[in-house]
Amino acid sequence: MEKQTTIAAKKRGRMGKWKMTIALFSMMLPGFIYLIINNYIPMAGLVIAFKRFDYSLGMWASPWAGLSNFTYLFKTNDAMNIMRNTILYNLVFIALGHLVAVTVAIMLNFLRGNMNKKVYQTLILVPYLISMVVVSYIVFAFLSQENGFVNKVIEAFGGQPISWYTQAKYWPVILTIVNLWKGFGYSSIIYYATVISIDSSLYEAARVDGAGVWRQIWHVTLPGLRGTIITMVLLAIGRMFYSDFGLFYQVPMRSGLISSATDTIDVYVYKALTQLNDVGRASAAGFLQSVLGFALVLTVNFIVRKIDKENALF
Amino acid sequence: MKEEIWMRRGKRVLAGICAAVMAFSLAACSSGGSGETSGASGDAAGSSAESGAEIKTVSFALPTAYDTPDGELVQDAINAITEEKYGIHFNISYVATGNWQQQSNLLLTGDEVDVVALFMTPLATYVKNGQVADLTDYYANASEEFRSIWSEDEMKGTSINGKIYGIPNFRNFGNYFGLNIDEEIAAEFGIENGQKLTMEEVDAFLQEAHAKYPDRYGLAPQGGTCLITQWTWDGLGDSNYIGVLSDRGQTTTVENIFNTDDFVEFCTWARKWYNEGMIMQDILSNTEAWQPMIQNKKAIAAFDNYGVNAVAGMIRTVIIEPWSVSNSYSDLSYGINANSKDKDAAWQAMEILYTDQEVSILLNDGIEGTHYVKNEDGTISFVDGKTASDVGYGMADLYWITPYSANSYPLDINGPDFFTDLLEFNENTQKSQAFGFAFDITPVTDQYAACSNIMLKYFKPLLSGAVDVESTIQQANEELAAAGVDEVIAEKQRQLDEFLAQQ
Amino acid sequence: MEITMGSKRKGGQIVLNIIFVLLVVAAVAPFLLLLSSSLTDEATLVQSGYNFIPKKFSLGSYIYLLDSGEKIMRGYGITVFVTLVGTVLSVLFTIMFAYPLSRKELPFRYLVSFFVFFTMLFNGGLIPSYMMWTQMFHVKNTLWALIFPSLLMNGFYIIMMRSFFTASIPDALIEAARIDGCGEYGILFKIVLPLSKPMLATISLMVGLGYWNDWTNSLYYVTDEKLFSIQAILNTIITNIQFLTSGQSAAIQSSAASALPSVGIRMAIAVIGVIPVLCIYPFFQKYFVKGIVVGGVKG
Repeated sequence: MEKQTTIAAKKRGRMGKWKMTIALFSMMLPGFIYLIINNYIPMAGLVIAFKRFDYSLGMWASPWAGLSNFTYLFKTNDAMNIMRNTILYNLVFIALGHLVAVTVAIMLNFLRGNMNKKVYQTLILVPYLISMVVVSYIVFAFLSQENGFVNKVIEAFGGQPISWYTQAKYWPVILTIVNLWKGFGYSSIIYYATVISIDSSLYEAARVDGAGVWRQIWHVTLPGLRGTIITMVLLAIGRMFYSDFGLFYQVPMRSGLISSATDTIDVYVYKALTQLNDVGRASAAGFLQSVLGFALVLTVNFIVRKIDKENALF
Repeated sequence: MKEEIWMRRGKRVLAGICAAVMAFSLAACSSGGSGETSGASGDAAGSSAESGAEIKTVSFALPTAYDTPDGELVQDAINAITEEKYGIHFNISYVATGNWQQQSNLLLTGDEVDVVALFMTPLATYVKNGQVADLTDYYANASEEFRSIWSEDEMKGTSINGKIYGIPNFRNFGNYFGLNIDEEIAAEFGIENGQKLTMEEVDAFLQEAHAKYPDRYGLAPQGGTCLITQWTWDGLGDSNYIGVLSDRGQTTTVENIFNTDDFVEFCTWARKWYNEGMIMQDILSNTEAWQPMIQNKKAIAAFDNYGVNAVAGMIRTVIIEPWSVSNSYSDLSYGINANSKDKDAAWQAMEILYTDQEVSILLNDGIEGTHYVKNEDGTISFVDGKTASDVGYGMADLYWITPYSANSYPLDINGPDFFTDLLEFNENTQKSQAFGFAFDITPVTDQYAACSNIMLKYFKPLLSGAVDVESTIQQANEELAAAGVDEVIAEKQRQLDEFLAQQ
Repeated sequence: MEITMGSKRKGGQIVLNIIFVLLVVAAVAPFLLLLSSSLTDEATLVQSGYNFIPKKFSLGSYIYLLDSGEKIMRGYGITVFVTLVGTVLSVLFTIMFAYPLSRKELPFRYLVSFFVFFTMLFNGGLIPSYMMWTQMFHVKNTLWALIFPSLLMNGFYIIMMRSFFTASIPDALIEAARIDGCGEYGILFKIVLPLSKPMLATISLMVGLGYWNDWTNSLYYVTDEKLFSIQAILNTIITNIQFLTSGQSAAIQSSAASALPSVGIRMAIAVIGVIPVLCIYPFFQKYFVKGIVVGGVKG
């Protein structure tokens, strides 16, 4: 008799399981279709990277070009510099960006009072809402050689005004600050949403154990954020060879003299190809960026999987 | 020379009469006395127009620098004429200049557009990418009226390897190079419009004027972040100027621009003025246009290249007599999308745009009473004291964009004889020796791409005065050599020699 | 002991507030510069540059925008419509995709995750996307062009949502619901979603901002300026200026550049693009509340 019920349960279970699986997949259908249409079908266009694209022939009939679309990326003396810039900026942006975002999220969580919290949270989002070109005007207002606020301060302290837009050495710092400034409010949102979802009983338990604020953060908050941080960083690593075109092209006001510090792969490709309007070479660059990023992310994900299977991306 | 202008003028009058006659007699429509290809399609369109059936739709895209919310009104007015007269329905897209490069290239991926402005990308690139149709046969069979607009020689300006890919539009093909000066200050110093100046005289004037108005810059940057980008060098269709002809294109030797005397001389002047505080220190990060800088009393003068039009509040002087670069005609022309489904209809539309005066007036000036009013002297003014930017259809100020504005009315600020002056100006402009030459970058693309990046680094800073001339040129030349500039120049020279041999 | 703890906490709060005030100043000061420039008389702005306090106050830029009112208002209308419709669709699609992915019962779920992740790294580039959206789906010059291409779903949001579901929705809860006879859709919409408000608010906000700030879809898929969103209008003005002041083309005649909108107007457009978001954001914030539910279930 006992046996019979388990069989019945199993039967119902199997039926239920099928029903459930179908229901789950049906839920995913709209998104699935969208990703196929928006992302996967156009991926066929990656073939352009290996073609001499001819508009009148289209993607498929255009003649093959072998790997010749890729060579321009390596034949320049700037190749190393551009690659280095792209990777280093990304590393710094990822490290500092997430550090600041997590810190802000945690501070927001420990902040008491409803009104001030709302006000702070709203206002730190402002930079994210300003388009990069307008940001470039603002940066110029600060760094203008004649009227810039920064030079005014330097002069007030008896220093010599600096010609910011002609000297490359300042720009790694300037661009990092602009990037942090623009993004910190936005990226802290996602961490804040995770922080506030952490089970509050965990904090209570820690407090009962006599943990102070710092220990609560260390033992409760950070472990709670771990998964999100790993995911976010992994995703960012996948974009390691891309860069924010607006930041690197518009904010330095396209000043050529500082390009050794501001040229990233995207900017270089744009500058090298505007006259050429060469679709094949442009997509070759994109293809390379994707492949490198993909390889990198697979590697890092593999390592993460070894250490912490739960939080690996796939 | 004079006679030719008169002949042209006469032809235009004739064209006007013809258009009026045609409006009455539909059967004689489109290409009354014209040749084969379009004649056939014209007749077909004519008969169909009579029966009111089968009107062909042609999409037409052109750039504009102003908002054109009334574009649809104008389109409807044009269609009211062309549907009946030619059996052609126009779909006109006005694309902001800032979006043009991106949007026009996307339009050319399919058959969304038929007749399109070829602008901002070198004609040779359009051709190499298979974006535009070969128009040679169409042109050979076009109506007399159409073929009389441009001379055979002029058509070479929009041909590549002997094949026609674009039809030039009407504008100034060459430029004076000179100094624009705030008219009040010019009057004070007794400098007149059109006066000839040498660089030394320019310097002397700037010194005095700047001493008198020390809180104004002597020179505003015409090239955005440099004093000017074009002067006496001909980039041979390459706006990165990798390998140029110096001396107003009057040589046939391709040189590295940094090694030409003209360039070094100009940069040396610029450097001197920059050190004297004549130029804004922030020139390399400037976002301000030069016109408001002079109009708002922030600067005294600016170098400029210009045709015959005037700028409000300024007088223009001449430092270099007008000359035109090798790609002057192909810089902006009109062509047919290689993917167009009905190229015959597209060509017919092209003929209409160049030869039908009513259509030209509508396209170029808008609708009378709504956008402009006629003045007694034959010019037009925008209605109610409005300007090109808020009248709803400001193309009249952009006569240099539309296909053939010579058939329309000139704007009041340009004067009643504007278009004839322009014709005359173009006749008298000295052409570069390499006129009609187009550089095919393909054999040296990699080197060219690498050199572009270096030119973008140093070219404008040198022309802004913000950097030391000698050491910067040395640095630039070292980098250029490493990037393979010699190969690019050699290839350019080879192609040019070949081109010249064929002439 | 108690007292010291209390004062220590108070001290901590004061420090926190000070830090935030500094952050807010850093974030907002440049915006104030923008605001002030948009309120400065044009000639003064050209002559003496940017200042935090207008040297010569003028509403000229805003009056100009009001005069060209129809365009700006229409741009606003389009932005609002696109943002609303886009966000609702996008969030709906995203949760319906992410929830099954978070369930351990789903077969091939690593494969599907990979399927999503792959879209974040590889894309075919603009031209293939453009050809597909315009030639197969005919979105050119329609409002759909501002909603569907590229913005509607983003692998990033799917993965964030999935991680959230995995971490915050206990299996036991779903198991219990199923025993009560609840279907999968019921579980998602009646049980899981109410527990996911903070994350829903976050994703909605991010998607909404994505739509609000976007001008690229207008640039690629819309040539009819009557369909331009507010950001596309601003971007077009700025790219026009960059082109006309570059001295790049010999064909360019100077007349056009003198009629360009001044710096003040560019700033004013940037300001009116930001203000509505600042007004709406506080309404989102009420959903950023502690995840009471999770504790509740366990307790």
